[in-house]
Amino acid sequence: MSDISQSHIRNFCIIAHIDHGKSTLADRIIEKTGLLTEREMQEQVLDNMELERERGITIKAQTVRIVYTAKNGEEYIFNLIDTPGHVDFNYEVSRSLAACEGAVLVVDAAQGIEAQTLANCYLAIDHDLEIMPVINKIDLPSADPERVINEIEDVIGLEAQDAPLISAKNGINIEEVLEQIVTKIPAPEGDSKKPLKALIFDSIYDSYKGVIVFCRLFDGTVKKGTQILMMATGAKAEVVEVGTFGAGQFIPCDELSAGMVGYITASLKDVSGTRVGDTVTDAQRPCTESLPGYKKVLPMVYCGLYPADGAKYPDLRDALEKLQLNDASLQYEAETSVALGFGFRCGFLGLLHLEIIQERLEREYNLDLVTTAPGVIYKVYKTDGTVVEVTNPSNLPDPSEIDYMEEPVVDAEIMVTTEYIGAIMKLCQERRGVYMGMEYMEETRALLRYVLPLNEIIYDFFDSLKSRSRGYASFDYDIKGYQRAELVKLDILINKEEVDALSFIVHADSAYERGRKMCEKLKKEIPRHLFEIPIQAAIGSKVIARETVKAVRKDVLAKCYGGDITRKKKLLEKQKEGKKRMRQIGNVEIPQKAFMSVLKLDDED
Amino acid sequence: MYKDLSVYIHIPFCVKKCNYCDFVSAPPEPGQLKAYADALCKEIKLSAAYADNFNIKTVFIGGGTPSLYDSSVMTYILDTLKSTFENRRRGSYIPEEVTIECNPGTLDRNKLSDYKRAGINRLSIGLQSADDKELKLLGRIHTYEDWEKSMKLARECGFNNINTDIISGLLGQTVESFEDTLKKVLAYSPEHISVYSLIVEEGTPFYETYAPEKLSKEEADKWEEEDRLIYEMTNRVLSKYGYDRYEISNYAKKGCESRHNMVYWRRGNYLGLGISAASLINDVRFANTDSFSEYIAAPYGSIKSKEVLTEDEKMSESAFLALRTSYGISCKKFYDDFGKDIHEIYAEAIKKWTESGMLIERDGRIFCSEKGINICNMIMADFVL
Repeated sequence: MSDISQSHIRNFCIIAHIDHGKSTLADRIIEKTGLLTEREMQEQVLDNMELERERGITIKAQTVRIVYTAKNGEEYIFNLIDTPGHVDFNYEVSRSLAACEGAVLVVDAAQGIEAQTLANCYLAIDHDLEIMPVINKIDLPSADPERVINEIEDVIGLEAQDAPLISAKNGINIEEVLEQIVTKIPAPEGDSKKPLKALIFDSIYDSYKGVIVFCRLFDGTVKKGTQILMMATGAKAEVVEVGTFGAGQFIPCDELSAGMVGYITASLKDVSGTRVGDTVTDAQRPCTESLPGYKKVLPMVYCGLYPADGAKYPDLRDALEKLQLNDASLQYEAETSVALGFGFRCGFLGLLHLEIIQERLEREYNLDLVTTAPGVIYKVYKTDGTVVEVTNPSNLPDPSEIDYMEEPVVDAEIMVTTEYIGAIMKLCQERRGVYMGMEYMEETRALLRYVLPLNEIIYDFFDSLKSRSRGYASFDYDIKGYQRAELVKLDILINKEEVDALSFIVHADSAYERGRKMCEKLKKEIPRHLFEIPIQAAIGSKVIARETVKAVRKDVLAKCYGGDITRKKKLLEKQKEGKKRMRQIGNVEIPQKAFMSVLKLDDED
Repeated sequence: MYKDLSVYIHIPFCVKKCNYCDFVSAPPEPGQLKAYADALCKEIKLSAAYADNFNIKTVFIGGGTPSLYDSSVMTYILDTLKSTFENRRRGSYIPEEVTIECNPGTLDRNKLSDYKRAGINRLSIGLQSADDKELKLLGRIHTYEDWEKSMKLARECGFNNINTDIISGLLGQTVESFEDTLKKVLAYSPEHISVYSLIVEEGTPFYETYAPEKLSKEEADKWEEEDRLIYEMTNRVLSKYGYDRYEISNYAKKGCESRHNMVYWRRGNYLGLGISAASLINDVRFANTDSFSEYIAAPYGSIKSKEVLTEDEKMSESAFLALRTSYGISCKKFYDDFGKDIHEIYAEAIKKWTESGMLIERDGRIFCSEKGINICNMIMADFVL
């Protein structure tokens, strides 16, 4: 190990637009270098969460160390750092990139450059990475590598004439990719003699080893017994073990030195002390300054999570505790709802993060959840001069006590092809965006800048953006701060009873529209009862929208099935199954789906 | 002790498939009629295992259109059934009720006389509507007049137990137009009338036109409301004419209730023969294959599904099936069958629905009120354990 010098290390990541074959190429590289035999290869080794494989996106950064014998006969160490692929995790992506010297840019030979190709590419350029283009899917009948090569050269300005033409799926030309990684991507240039300076790009909790910190060493060395210090959080610990990454396993070694990528385990109880982006140094001999770019990632989106079955509350608490060990950006605290009982108010990085946590809770912990409408942190300036932060609409003070309110806003940058500029500007206006300017990146592509309220983008802004630009818009944002806004609390009354779990805070101008949509959606979700059920949206005591669920007058299965009782029974069982997943509010049974349906109000637009 | 057995025989052929029909039935291809009759007789002979323990009480030949077959074939099939069961033990084939389904337009005097001789004592003549325009819409092959002729002929041939099927709730049907159909049926005073609500099933031609999502909200609402009014009117009119609604969709003159049908609701033992036919024997439900070729290849042993019922399922079934009948659940029978008080098993459901007046408990039985029948699915769902 130690006889491999930095000149024989290559640290890189793979970047691509979604579905251009990032994970497949990673698999082939791992397979080709013989780390795993084909039999051992699970399809797409790196996306190892069930959920990741299903959604085709990478959620957590994954890393693998590969030994490659190049054509020149020498052995090289490849550290492949896979990156998450969504704007919610942009910060994690940027930290993963910061751990590399180069990036393999995968472009689909048929589709060419797409929005995320560009966004990822610029992100990599920002980090001074050497970008090595690869044209994938050349086996497709519609593949046109020549055109794509020219596109890469014209649009991104990268030399692409000798880009490997490959098919990751069929294993064509993978060798060429490996050779170019050796020749094109620079070796790390750290100094092992300097004080330890390592970047944390991920950390996980393992029930045997405790916290495992994934890091890239820029300078210095680290080994068992080193007293380490996390420069931003100030956490200190003694190193228990260091090592490198196999495929899905940890391989201990004696020492990690400058240029290497590996893991450190230390006597740390939870991941909160090991923030992504922080710098690890030697407590006895610290480096003078930390690596640039560290941010404390704060939750931006809050919602209530409730167990469908109230008795499962302790299970939900345990599950959240476990998930938090691995995910420092997840926050939660206990809360109670009149409609839903005991649950938790949870904070997430964004809506995808929320969905992922929710799905993991449901699948990995077998919990049935009810989620309330996501919201942000509002600042409420009260007439008595105090300021309170509100994440749960139910905690909003009485309107008479409120002087004014502020909401978080973001600086948003949207890259879009010129033909969709109009559609995207319209979208931003609908979401109360303030136009800040536009720059043409080139003839066909422009960068739009808007200030947007965060609560307008947490719902489904990303989806709308994609659908209105046919996937050709990419989006990035930074929290700008707080801004005064006319906000109101919208309440939903079902059969005259207020349902706290359905209340939300919204801008006064869109309250009417939201209220109307909520009522319409709820009307669809709430089954008919023996009596008429009014559904109302109200601000204070003023009703602004109303729908009615008509009473059932007839529900009979008057069909002849002969002796085929099974069909009849199945229908009744289905009806009964539906009832089980209901919440009783007053004398109305509301399906849990109804609480969720209000999360996606703009579906039908 | 021998148990009673009902036998259902499925004939999967028709002249032309109706637009609303989702049963296993189609016009026969050359050679299929004979192949199927042979397979059916083979299945009957091989199912003789049941003959040791059961006495056949009712037989129902349904379809499709069983009257499509030459009457000699029906005679042969019924003879096979009789000889199979009587071979083992005298007196094990003394059915009280043998029904055959027929289509107007497929009956003649000879056929009816043959049926009579073969032991068939009940006819079920599918009319569906007395309005020829509606008949065309439904895709029926006959007119109202054809049905009138069939009824007269059947009476002449001595059939004194006749059912007529009608379908209510077609789009465009009104209370008045359906009352007219009822009146035209009542003119021939059949002993039994089945009124089924049209259910638009996926995969039928009707689904293409009337699928719920194809209608506007107003259309759907109006249709639903009219359907309900028709349903209520039907009960009103038929009871005025002396018919008793003894089950959700079945009306009969006193003493003319279908014994065969009641076996389904009371969870008696029944054996289904032929393609897709369903059986319940000693608390095991099973059904034959839906595939013609599979059935022909192995008429006995082409079972597509089999379900051994758990105690909960048995209780659920006996409750919700009984709730379809006007008699309702007999609390004593429930106790005899399961050794448990029904009020313990269904405490919540009984309380909820009797308090709202949808269920009535009287004289040791629990049954749906007039209003309750209209929403009986909701009630029955609460009786599924």
